[in-house]
Amino acid sequence: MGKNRTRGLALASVVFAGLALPAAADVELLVWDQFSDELSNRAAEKVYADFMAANPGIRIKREVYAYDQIRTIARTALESGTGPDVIYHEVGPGNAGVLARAGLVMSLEGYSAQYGWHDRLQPAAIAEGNLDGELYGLGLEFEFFGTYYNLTELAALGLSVPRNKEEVLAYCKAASEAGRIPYVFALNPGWQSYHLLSATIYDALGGEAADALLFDHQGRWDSPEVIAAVEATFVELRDANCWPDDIAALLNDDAAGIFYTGEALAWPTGTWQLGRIADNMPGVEFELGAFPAIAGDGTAYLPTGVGSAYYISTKAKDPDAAALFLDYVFSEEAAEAWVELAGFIPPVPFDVAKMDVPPLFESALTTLMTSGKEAGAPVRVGPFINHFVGEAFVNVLRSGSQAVVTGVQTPAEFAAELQKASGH
Amino acid sequence: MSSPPPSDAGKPWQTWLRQNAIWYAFIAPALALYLLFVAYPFLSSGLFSLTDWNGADPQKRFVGLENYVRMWDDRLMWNALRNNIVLVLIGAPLSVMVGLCFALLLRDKPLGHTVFRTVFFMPLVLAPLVIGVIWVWILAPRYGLLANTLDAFGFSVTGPRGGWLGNPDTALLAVIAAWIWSIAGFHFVILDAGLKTIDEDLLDAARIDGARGFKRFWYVTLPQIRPVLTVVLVLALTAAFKVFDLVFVMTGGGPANRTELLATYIYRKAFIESSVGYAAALSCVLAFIILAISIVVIWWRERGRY
Amino acid sequence: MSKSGVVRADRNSAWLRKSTLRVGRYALLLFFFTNFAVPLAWMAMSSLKTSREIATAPLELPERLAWENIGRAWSVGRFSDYLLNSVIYSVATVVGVVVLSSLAGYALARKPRLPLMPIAFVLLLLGLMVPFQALMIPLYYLARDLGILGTRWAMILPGIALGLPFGIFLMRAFFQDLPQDLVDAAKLDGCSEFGAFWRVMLPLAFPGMATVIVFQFMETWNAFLLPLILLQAEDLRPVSLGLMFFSGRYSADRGLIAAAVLLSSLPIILLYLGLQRYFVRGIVSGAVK
Repeated sequence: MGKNRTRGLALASVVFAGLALPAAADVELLVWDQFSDELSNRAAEKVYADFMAANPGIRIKREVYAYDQIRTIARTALESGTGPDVIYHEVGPGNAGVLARAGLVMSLEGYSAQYGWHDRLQPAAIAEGNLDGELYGLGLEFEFFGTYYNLTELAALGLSVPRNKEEVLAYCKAASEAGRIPYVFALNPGWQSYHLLSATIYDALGGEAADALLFDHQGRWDSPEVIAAVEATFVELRDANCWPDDIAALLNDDAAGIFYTGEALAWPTGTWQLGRIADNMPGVEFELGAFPAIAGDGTAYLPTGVGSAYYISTKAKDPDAAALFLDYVFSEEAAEAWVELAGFIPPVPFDVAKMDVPPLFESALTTLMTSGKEAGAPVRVGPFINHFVGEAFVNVLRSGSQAVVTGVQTPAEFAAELQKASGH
Repeated sequence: MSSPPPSDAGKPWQTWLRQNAIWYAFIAPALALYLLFVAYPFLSSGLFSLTDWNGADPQKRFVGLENYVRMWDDRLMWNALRNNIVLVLIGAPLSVMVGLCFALLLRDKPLGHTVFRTVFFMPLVLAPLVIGVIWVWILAPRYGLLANTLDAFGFSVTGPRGGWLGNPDTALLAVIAAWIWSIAGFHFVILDAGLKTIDEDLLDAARIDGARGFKRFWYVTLPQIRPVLTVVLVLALTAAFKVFDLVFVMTGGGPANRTELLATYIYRKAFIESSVGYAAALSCVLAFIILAISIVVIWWRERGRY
Repeated sequence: MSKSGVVRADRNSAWLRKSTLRVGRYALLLFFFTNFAVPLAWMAMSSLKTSREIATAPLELPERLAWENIGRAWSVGRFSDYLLNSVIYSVATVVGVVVLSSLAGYALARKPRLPLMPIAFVLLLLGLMVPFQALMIPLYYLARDLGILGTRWAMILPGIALGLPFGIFLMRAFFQDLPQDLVDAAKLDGCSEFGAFWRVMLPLAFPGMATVIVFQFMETWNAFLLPLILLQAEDLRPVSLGLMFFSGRYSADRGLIAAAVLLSSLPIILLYLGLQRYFVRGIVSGAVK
């Protein structure tokens, strides 16, 4: 080859290689999280900045992703060795479980012993971060799924919050006749279905039977109760005009917009939206309660848990620094930022009296405190089903809900697929 | 071929080597890169497909044809295959027809033909991602271009329940429409070049004989562009089997798996669910399908040549 | 042709038919044109609106030109970085493909019957037909084992390799059309084979090279799946990938997304408008294989 060309190529390769080399010096932690909206983003920035201020030798490089996109590249990124050191990923055997089984995220038992996480974090959060009994992830947002009712708008229309199935159907009729959307809900891409079904399936089966089905694999997912739950949720409520017509096409942001403008009177979603709702609808009065019991014996269920958790990559160059970082994220100091700026409920002890929180937050806390674990309570605590099942099951939940609400599948068919996907 | 110089008598193969080494040097770098990054992975695919590897274990466990058997029972695979076939059977011919339409409409350079030409070809230079975003916006139920335009003309605004992309019955058709939009320009350009090779005298003769436009097209134009049409059709068919980017961006395979295609299914299996062996088997099947189509159509074309 | 009356009637009806056809043709053209141009224009218009405007008044002109969308997409959206990456990958890949396929194409054109040449030719032919999906999984693990996964080389080297079949075929076809006498004349003047190639044949093949350049540039610029699986770090992302994560992250801000779409397409659109001829030629030659 021509000499000039060879030289040119050599120079080019050096330039390109140089562009690929990382900077030296401090420990750098690459953190991938999902706090993309303004409020949680601000909270995360503050927490991370405070950590860096307290630990000058560690630099955090942050990348933010949308909730459902992080799943599509988590695996390839972690495996390549150039991916994140710390990743905020959805919990559950079908989600982070896949990463753990592939050896891409590490067990945190050792660090927990070192930092005392088992004692500091709420048992429920620890349980959700476990895979096969071993701690892998630390869940940050202790959340539950309920319904936000726009009391201001309801009062203006002379409606009240429905408490049981008959009242729900009557409410939907009245609200839709008034030209409003009784319950706005987004089923695109469909992960929202997990939460709703966690509530209604538990309604229908009752806590004990549902727990037995979910955790001990006793009973079947295609039992009449489950079918009734699915039918009530996606067929009966749809036919009663409770859901918007385009429910299967609405994105979460679309549903948010519709609720913020007041067009929708209620939004079944979780406490993860709390901060944004409070921020976007100042002056509005809310009630945040459980989604009404539309199946079963009338006890409403409040699915609670943590959505995503922080995991440490097995290929992290400095896992000790990563653990130190996590310890800070779950400190009482950081809790203040998470609560006040993002409206999260971190699973560590914190004194809400000392903090400046919107009324909605306190309402959420109240709901959480007043729901019971035992039978007989009008509102009971249940789990998020999708955190404890495999990937295939989760897929069926998502696509099946869309299919049932658009009439492509019957609830019975959907339930049969669930049973098949459960692998039992 | 030039004869070897006389001064190296006695060692013919060495001379031959010295003379021809340069040619191997010419082709070596390309071939090396190609073998490493294309040929080798292709063969590996076959090997992977015979294991149940999850991508992480240091050992790969050989399971024979188990993956291919498993495919047979995999409802989601058949679903993806069916969706792909629908895309191929509807999208490919339609996109070719639209392209042909453009080529015929812009024949003899009517007024403004450069502008039309530019616009029809434009989607091809846009990234599939961009096309996906554009079409998601077009089809969005509330703020979308289509819904609002229909509304302006007095038609119902929300369309089928769920919006076109959110409705399992219409989602695949919506994706097909977007795909046709993105690729018709490609066919147009090739067919346009093909039309230019047509014998004008034959057309004039037909015109004098009194043949109307459509008859002229059917009996004179079409036979002459048949080879080009075949090429375009093959390209469209194979392209339709390979669609990935558009679906990935527009629907991610939903709703209710109604837009899942083979390529997106393979990606999901390999890179999200860690069923690498199985995904490799799927990709081999896909490669086989595409190769089969190409070979069959090309063979058929060569046979039909007179 | 008999009486003048009949002739005039014939001419009139012919003229009527022709005008109807002409009107029909333009109507169709305009219909298609609207379908193709309006979405693009609408997207461009939306980029200058705020999110609220897009949601409430999607079809109207923006109240005020929201230039800040584009500014934000550029900076916050790191589009400057993504564009730089796209340029690096495209240029590197194009250079690699052009250089290697010129050399290889020439060899295949001049000496097709040397041992191994026919095999190489068939191998490359297969490469044209094999879909990327059949390669991508092992390619990922190969890149990992070679240690280039997550670096720019992971994008460039396989990118070059994948572009070689098309490039080689094109250059080979080109060289085949060039007359042999020029080479012989050059060699009589004392040139080596390579010299003949370098000084005589290659300059004549510039049109072919231009086609390869344009085609490969477009392929690499718009590549999505390859960077998706082989590049993980955000710093390395090209525009095609950057847009996806950007629109996921800022999904609530539609004006910003539209601006990002505009920014990612503008370079290639401008290139296209300037070099339209070559784009078209590349497609045509590729198809005629």
